[in-house]
Amino acid sequence: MKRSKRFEALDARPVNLDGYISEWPEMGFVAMHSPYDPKPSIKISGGKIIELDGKARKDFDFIDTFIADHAINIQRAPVSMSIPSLEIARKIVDIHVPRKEILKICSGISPAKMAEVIGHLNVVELMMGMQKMRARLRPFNQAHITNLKDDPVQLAADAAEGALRGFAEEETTMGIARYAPFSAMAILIGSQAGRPGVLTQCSSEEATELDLGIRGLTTYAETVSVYGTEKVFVDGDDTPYSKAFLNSAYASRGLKVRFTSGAGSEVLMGYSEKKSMLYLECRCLYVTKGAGSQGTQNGAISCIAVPASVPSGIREVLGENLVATLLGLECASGNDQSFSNSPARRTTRTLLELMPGTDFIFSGYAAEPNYDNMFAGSNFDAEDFDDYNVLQRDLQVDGGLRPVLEEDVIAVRRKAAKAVQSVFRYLGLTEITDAQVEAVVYAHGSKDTLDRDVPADLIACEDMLKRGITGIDVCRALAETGHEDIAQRVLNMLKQRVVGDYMQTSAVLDENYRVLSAINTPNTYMGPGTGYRLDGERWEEIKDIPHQIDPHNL
Amino acid sequence: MQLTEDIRKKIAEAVIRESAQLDGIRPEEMLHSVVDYLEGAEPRNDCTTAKMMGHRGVRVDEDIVRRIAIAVVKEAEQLEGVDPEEMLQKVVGSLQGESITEVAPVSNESLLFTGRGVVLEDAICKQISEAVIKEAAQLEGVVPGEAIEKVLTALRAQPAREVASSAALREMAAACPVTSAKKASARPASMAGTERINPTKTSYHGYPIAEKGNDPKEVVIGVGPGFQKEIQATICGIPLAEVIREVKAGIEEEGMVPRVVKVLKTSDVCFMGLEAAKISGSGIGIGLQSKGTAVIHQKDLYPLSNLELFPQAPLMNLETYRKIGQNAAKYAKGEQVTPISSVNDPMCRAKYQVKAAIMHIAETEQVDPNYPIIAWSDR
Amino acid sequence: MKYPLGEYEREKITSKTGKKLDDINLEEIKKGNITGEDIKISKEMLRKQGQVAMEADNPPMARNFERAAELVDVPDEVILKMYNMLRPNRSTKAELLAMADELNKKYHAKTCAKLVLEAAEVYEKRGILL
Repeated sequence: MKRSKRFEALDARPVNLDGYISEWPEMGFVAMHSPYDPKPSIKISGGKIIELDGKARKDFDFIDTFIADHAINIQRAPVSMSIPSLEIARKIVDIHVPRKEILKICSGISPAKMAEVIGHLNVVELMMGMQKMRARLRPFNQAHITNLKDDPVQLAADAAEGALRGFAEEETTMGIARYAPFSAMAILIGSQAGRPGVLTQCSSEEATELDLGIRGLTTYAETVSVYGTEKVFVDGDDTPYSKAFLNSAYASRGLKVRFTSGAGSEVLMGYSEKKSMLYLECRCLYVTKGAGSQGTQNGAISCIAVPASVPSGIREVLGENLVATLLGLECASGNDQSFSNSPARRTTRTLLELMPGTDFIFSGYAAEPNYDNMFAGSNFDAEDFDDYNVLQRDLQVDGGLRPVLEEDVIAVRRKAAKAVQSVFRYLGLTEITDAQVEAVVYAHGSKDTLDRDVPADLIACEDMLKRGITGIDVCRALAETGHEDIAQRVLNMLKQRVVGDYMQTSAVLDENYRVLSAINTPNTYMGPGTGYRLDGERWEEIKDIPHQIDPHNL
Repeated sequence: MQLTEDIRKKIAEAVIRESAQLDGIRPEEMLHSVVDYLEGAEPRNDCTTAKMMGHRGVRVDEDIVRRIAIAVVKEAEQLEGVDPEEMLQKVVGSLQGESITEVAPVSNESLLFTGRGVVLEDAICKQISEAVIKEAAQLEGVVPGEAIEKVLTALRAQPAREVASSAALREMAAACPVTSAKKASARPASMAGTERINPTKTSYHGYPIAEKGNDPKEVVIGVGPGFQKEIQATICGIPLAEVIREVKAGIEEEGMVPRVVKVLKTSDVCFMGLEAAKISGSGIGIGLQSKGTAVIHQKDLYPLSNLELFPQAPLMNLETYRKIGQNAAKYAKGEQVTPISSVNDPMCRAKYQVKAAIMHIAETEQVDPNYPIIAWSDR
Repeated sequence: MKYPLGEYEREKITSKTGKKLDDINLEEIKKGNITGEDIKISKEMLRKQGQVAMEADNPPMARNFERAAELVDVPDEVILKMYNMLRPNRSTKAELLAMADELNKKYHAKTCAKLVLEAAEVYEKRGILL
């Protein structure tokens, strides 16, 4: 067949490099509804749930058991389950029905019914729902702070710049797992150099991460992962019970925690039990709720290419974010993983959360160039900063970031890098040279920095753990080396764990360490003229992008 | 149909473009040989590729053969006066072979080539097959590695025991879509309703159980449940036989002893690596999934922790697999090890995640807790 | 009791070791008078936060704060050990029952013990015990 030139041009488009597959429910390749999804049901006897979504208690797996015993309000269940799912869906988009009323209804419905409710909402209605059901009044944003070399100096500098740009939380991870103590410490220091009050975490193996938190090298944890089928949960080396215990363990040390889940993990890990991605994610969120977690990071997360491969996949991703809010959870709404070669697809996926606003628009915006993102690439990266700021300005929407001045960025990067250099020296860790500091200050990514002595760093990391170095030691090191202001800020972060206010739903800290959570600043949206409106000082800040035409200079 | 000089040249150039880059190969010779091959020149001793494939236990899948053929004749399509259908039939025909009566003696080089004084080394075979199936790699449903395996097999001329009938192949040729343009509009058949990717589950009943080792010099490699059976190549097409060979070579280079086991109780790479480490005399193990994801593990670590992790399977190459063997051996010796530098392609997920899911499902289907770990020698 | 407690109840707040918020400062750190234990949360504060959660219509979170309060006195290594024991295929039923017993008798951690007993029963049913 002779080829059409137009089709040849289309075939070469980036969007056609993405992976697509037609629905295959037997393997879990279906977004919102599988023919094998159960019919909703709750049967109660003797104050216990004895049937959940068509399954009798004797057939419950450990996920069903945990949900039945911990996640559903048994008093409200009979009434909630009797309300038709369509009616619940309509209430969600009805501006006259307050958030609290919807939370009450949803506290008594089963996972399958929740999936049914979401199924009734088209993508615009899901956004309307999110606008109302988001827990915290004002949306914020989270950054990934990583680099290919696991270089702590660059981590500190990028953390400082990220904080200046407006991120309220920052997350790091390692190419080489053993770098964890350095990485955690680097962003703890760097974030406070950029803006007081920014929360930091280090994503690593569960027990390791708990250990770092207890030592005071991180101020929150997020990757407490849960899964939607029993076999996959076991391959994730946990159960809802161990995760509930872990959640309590973190809380007993005063740390903020959020769980993580997302569509597609069960497909990728090989055991989806023929259920739809949305239904399995509902199970995950119910486990999260039952464990008493304040919130979740969801929206497919690292498995995003899987829902994106099937029809209605990106709609499903917003749907699962909404489920989190319907359960009263804080929602850090994905957008943290690259999934498409097409710029249009990337932006559209993010707009669904940016426009209504979520607790954290991104659960990981790469604050470095994507080649340095050790989460294998985020949906947006450092080279998109100006695009993102313009989108906020175009739509008059608060996406959690702000335009910054180059000289301010250079200054905080240097401040952070020098602070880390001093701490390393004081604590007798590996050397950070002035040349390394200077390279990092002006760097875009690790291609512009000097190499570290990796084996020596790893020995020092092990040493750091053996010596029991804590956040207090970091404060002392900062204070004794002329970085009193950062020392005070780090200490203020550590003191949060004594108070525990920031462990409530959707909590962030402003630059005066004041808690803004769903308790004291709840979302009050009930239609035009209500809720969070972008205006005043924050709107002025967003308007002020760098590349504006100067009429005086024409 | 006549193979004009022009067509021959163009087809052959497409096929051997890679091999021209290699030292010691005379591209002209290669050209000559491949063109002859396409023209169906009688090989010595009546050995054909059908037999070569049959002997290796490789089922010549309709789809695969068709797509390989498409790759080969892509140049021909562009040329005037050439009917792609005919070309296709010809190439498919030579891949499938006519039934023959004699069996050729064992040889590691294609008789087609040795007859012309060309030594077909492993590296060349690999390069040729990569060039040949470059199209195939882009096509849905084709695992490039499987296609490579088949072409390599064909080129290496193993004596065949089975014989393919020409009637079957003519049917195939008639049924196939001709060009990549067809591919763009043709939609693949829906898989809905299919419960397994591979209909039969392989049974490992009777295979020797892997024992715990005592030799402190040993490093155990735990491969996935589908390794070298349901899956023959990694997600980016590297044959698993070569992967395992490189890992072992790396271990041996460092003076340690490799042992390969197949983990059947789980398909998770970290759990696999930990199982390998636990039965390893040195306490160091390597986990290796069939899609290519690898991990170096140690017996006292948390299951989801590791010494080194290689999570982006599409970025792996033979050199890295060898280094994994070397580093694992060094950890076993208690040396100071510089971890292999991290590599990262932020668009990896966009390109490969769905394929990774399908490959992992195919591997996970073979999990069998009844035979947790079995001894596994080279296949 | 008004939230945020750090704003409205500041003077009443002490850490696990009894230190007031203002006692935890850089001067004291430089003198070496502050340890990791001094920045750990107290049972009282966790129970107060649990109350905040309950008033916000979140019983599961209140239960988590209760478990957390119980775990305050459990040493770090013991907590890590207990978490690991609750992971799949790590413990026998007897070991989990013993752990529940230790939580109850040694640490008076009733809610935690109850969680462990639930887990032991479910794990047995689902075949993920050693």
